[in-house]
Amino acid sequence: MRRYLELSIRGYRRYSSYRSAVIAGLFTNLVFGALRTAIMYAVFAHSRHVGGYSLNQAIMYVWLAQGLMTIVQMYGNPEFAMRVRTGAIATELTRPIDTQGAAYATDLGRATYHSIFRGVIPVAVGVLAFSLPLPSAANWLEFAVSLWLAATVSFMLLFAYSLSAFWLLDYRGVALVAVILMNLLSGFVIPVSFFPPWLRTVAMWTPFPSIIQTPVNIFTGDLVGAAALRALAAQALWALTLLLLGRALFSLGRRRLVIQGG
Amino acid sequence: MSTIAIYARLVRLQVRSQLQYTTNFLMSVLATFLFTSLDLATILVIFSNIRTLGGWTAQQVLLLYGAAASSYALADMLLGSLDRLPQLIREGNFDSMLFRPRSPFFQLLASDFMLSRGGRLAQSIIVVIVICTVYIHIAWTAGAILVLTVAVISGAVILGAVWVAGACISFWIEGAGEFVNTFSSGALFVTQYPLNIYAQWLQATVTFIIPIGFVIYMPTSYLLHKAPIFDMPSVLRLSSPLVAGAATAAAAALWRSSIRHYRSAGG
Amino acid sequence: MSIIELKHVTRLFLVHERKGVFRRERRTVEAVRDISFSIAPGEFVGYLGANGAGKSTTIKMLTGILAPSSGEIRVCGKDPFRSRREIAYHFGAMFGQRMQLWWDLPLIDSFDQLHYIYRVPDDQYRARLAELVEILDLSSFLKVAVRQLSLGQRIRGELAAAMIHTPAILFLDEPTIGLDLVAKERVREFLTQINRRHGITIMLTTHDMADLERMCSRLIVLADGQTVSDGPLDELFGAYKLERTLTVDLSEPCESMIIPGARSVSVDGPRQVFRFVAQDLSSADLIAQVAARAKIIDLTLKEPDVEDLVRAITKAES
Repeated sequence: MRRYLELSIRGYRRYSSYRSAVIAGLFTNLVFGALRTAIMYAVFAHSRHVGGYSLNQAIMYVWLAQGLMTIVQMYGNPEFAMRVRTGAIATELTRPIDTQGAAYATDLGRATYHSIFRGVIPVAVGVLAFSLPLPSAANWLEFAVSLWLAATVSFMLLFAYSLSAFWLLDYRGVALVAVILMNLLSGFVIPVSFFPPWLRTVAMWTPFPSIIQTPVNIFTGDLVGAAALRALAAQALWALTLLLLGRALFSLGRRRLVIQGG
Repeated sequence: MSTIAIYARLVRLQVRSQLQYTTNFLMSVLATFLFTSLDLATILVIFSNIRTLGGWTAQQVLLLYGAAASSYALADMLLGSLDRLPQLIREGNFDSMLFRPRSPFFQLLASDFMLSRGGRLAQSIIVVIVICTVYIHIAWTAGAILVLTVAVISGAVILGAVWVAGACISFWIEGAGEFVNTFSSGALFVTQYPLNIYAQWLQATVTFIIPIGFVIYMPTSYLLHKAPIFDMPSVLRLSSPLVAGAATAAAAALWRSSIRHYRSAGG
Repeated sequence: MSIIELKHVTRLFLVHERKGVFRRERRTVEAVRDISFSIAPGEFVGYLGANGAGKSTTIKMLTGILAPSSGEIRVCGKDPFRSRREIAYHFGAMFGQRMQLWWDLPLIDSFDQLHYIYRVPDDQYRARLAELVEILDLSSFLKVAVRQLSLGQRIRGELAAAMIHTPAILFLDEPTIGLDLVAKERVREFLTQINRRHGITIMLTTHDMADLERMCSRLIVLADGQTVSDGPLDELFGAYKLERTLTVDLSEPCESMIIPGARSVSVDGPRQVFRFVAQDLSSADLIAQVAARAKIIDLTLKEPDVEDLVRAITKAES
């Protein structure tokens, strides 16, 4: 257990050295947050409710999405597949550590760092600049759990599709398709509630809404009580499914490595 | 051989090398195509909920989007290598370009030419053509087509000039280069939507200070008979080519003085 | 007539230092202070100094990338800063860590491209290329993409690239770094040949002592932005007594040995380290004396390196 904690701390430290990248990234968050807010004003010009949201909720959504973006690695992690592959090879050399578990522990460290340094400020801007309401005490707890689950779902997905590096010489195509689908179907570029019914159905059958839509809706108070618990359960279910998928693909891939000779 | 010819030759060599890895290349093109379509999907989703945005219908906004994206894609294909400048300076590899008896600007442009960026261009041009032929009910006279084509090309030049100006920051302030990238992608985002939905100060900024408003909004709003912002007369709305020329001259001057500064103040 | 000339050249930099969380201090740093030297055509000069001594700043000024704050520089009779493009035709540069070749393209494409960039006439280029391919043995990997080349192959490629336009001057920074002995020899062969046979002036920075001994006739040493030494190589080697290092692993720990002519640097269990000057005591003698007092299991002998030389010179002159 302690080994995993050490990995998390190392994951955190690794990202804390990229200070200038954080500032540049936050700047991007602020610019796009502002632009998307402007779009929302225009969208709500003639109606008070669109897609079940009020203008205030839609604006809060924009800023929450910007805050969550880095925590859930919305644009993927290019070096990750390479590290997974080397992790697998290292395991081959009989180091008694679970690759997926180790990578997850490291990623939680990273996610913690990003929560503090990339997550808080965009959300704070949304709350302060637009006088938007904060969650109640119970909702905060639910939000925290949902955030953790969202980061987990995203990680398990990233881990699983990075494993395509075992079979494909260039896994980047798979990675890119995943990133594109995630950008759209998670509700990052536009809330899932805005989707036309058919697209909303498609999205609900994927893990993606668990990554942005669910935690945001819990924060804005759109999901409360039983509905919120159901949503959290859905996130947990997706996390578990992807975790198992990842493990299955990993052992298949390792076997292939052995046969091929690394 | 002239500098332009050398630039063209290097581009040709890189294209040939990239095409050799055909599957890789096709995948990159497809990926770029799909990624660009995210913006399109966003607009379509928005319009499944409302009828007009800032007084513009879905088809009109899609025309705006397609034309803006085409300008962006064209500029990206020709000037995409500018993104590398902060890294080149940081690693000391920009100095290698200064060793050579040629313009460092064209060396930079040729350094990272990626044919796969064409995927973006293909997607946006398809959108424009489909929208224009099927949905936009204006008389597509030769004049109108000319206005649109000139608009897209001038728009690309204006964007390029703005990017060059942004890239120059790397010569003056260390580490500022990464911030400029935000403005480039922000620029695409802003120009996709009708400018009149933005706050006054933003409208003024993108019209008079960083003239990306002239990339597409001005000529398109003219074609679609929309009321002009800032009560701009029609003549000025069609002046993208002039704005492009002025922007190019300004960017060139800024580049030259930035290189001079880099060589005097120390790299 | 010098081909390279510096007269009282100074280069200042404005440095912003962070003092605490928000405050920043501006300081003027003298990277190079009042240096002067001339290099005649055909000289092979070693150019040394610790990191931050001002070497790369000087090279940048000689190649026209950077302007001097004061003083005069002439390369091939011209001011490099004002006539950057003109003098570019007269020098070639190879910086071991940095890439001048195009990464994704076959090596031959880089050469072709450079001959257009430097406006080399086609027939001259063909002749030059044939020569370089032969001397540096490039034929087996001319069509291979640069990113797939081994380090040794890449360095040979870079050297050839620097020579395509037959420059009068070559600036080299660590040209043999990371190469095995055979490859190093080949590079040294090549450089010596072009220097002796074609009279190409070479300015070389290196951490390899053998590079200096085998190729350079003159050594310029910088410290803190100033030249602390400038003279023929053999004079310098004779003037400064450099120490060799002997490390012995004894069969069991022993008291620190006192041996005339050598000084004991450290004793760590059974391992003892000695330093001695070759002129004062031969290694064979030293080893014999150690063996007489204890049983030696293993030993290593290290020659003085470039850092030792630079340190010795810098200390003596300050």
